[in-house]
Amino acid sequence: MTDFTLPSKFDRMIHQPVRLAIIAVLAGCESADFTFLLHATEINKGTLSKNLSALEEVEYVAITKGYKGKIPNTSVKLTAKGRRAFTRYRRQYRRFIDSVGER
Amino acid sequence: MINATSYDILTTIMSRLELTMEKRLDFEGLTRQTRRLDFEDGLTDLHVGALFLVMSLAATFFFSASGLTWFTKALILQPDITKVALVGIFGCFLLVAFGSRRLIARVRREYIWKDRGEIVPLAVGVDRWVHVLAAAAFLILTTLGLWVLLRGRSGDEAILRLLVAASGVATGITYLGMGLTLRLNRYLYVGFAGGLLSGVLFFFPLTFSGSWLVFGAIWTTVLLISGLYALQRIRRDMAEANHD
Repeated sequence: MTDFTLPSKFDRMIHQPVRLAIIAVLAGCESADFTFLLHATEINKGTLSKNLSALEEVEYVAITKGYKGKIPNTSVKLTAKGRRAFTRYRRQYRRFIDSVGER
Repeated sequence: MINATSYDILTTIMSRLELTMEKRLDFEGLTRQTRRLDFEDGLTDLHVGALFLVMSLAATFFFSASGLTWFTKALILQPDITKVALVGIFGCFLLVAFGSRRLIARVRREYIWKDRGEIVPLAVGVDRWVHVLAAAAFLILTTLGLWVLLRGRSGDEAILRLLVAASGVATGITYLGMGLTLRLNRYLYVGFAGGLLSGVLFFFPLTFSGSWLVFGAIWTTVLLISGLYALQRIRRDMAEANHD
């Protein structure tokens, strides 16, 4: 019997490198704008947009579109649901890595 | 035939291979890096240092004999004006505290984070366990200190000074915890120096108001040095990036 969750049973919405990177960055702040996410995750615009939409659909992130002065600005925030899911994922991931004797 | 346990083992091995074969994403590092942004450029240190200075100066004044006399007199002679003035002073303090956060955000947006995009930092940038540890240290130090002082029949000043020293040590522990969780070496030095000096403060025959003044001087100086050092590094990095 295993005392950890198998990666195959991890939250697939988070257990995907691009989305995991986005959520990991957002977990470290209240909100971040699109430009910051582009730089921090080193993902291209199209992939970032696509994955943000997927995360928004499951209500893990909230996207606000507005203006900073005259420049359009997209702000992304991790929702409470998203934060909870990420905390659960981190716990499962750590337990799994510990169980296979790797850090 | 594969039973449930063998299946689990097989899936584990497969998943392990999957995790090790592709370059594993350091997602904890990404979170840490984002959290660190609020402290990296030193502006937060300068802000907190300024708040320590204002708070300690106010405490020094109100807890000094002349301050207390002045305040009591003012309260008796002009109670309404004194109350309004007090609320005004407190309001100004809050305005400075929150106003300077806005100023910092603007400086970052226009100079430091210009091309990198921006974030709104977490409201509480410190882990809960750090707060718990600092609060526990404060309680243990004050309880232990009180017990020793009361047994030795020490004066009131020593007991009051103990509260200030314990606050300083707790602040030092908070910075040490932040240094460890955010992997910011600068905060290890800040926490160690500030905490140690605040602890030493207790052994000097200072009045309550005097110990607040020294407390403010310690933390303002330590945070000023830390903030200016970080700001200098950021400026150097920016100059190098522009040169490249």
